Amino acid sequence: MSEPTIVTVLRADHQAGLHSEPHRPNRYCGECAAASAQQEPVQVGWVVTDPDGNVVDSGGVSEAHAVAWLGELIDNAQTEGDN
Amino acid sequence: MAGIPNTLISNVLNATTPTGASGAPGTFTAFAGSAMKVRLNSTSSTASANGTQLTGTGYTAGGTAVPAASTASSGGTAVTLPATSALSWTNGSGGTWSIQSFDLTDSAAARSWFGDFNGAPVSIANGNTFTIAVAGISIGLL
Repeated sequence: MSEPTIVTVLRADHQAGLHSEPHRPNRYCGECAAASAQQEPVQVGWVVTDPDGNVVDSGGVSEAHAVAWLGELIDNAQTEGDN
Repeated sequence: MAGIPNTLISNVLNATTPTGASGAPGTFTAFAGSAMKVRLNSTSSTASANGTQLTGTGYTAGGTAVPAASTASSGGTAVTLPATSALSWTNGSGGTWSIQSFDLTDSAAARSWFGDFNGAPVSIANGNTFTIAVAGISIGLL
């Protein structure tokens, strides 16, 4: 995990006593890590905009992976076998 | 379900196994040499067939060509698309589009990959625009 400005904010929170876990040098406490995960940007895959350009919906990156497909195929086969 | 069509599975298998003359590798059937296209569907594509393509003003049957070359895979990394600029479609059909999946095809409509959109189905009211961001689609073998 990189440590950009977000870390300064989290450490400030931590140092302000907003987190209950003890400080660990050069490491996040659990609450810092959770907050960091929430604040890390999620890459947008698609957006829907209205005629004024306002974003009305969005979603993450869409993936097509052969192994994922194979896994689904196996799951389907197992499900059919169970029936 | 998302992934690789049966046609490409067989194409890859045949080109990488001794299905050719005298046990040589078989021949890979190349895709067309022009820009590939992203096709939008209102239903999920499957390994054996495309989904049901969108219709109406704002969507061109067969899909839209990608704007530029994607960064090539190296060391097994995924390939993302579109590169350099987004792909957009503005719904002028008079009704609502429901977008479920995409197919990546060559310029002659031969499929290479397919997948559901993250969060599908995506509802696009008449007059609204659906945009696939740069690198909004990721394709990989792993």
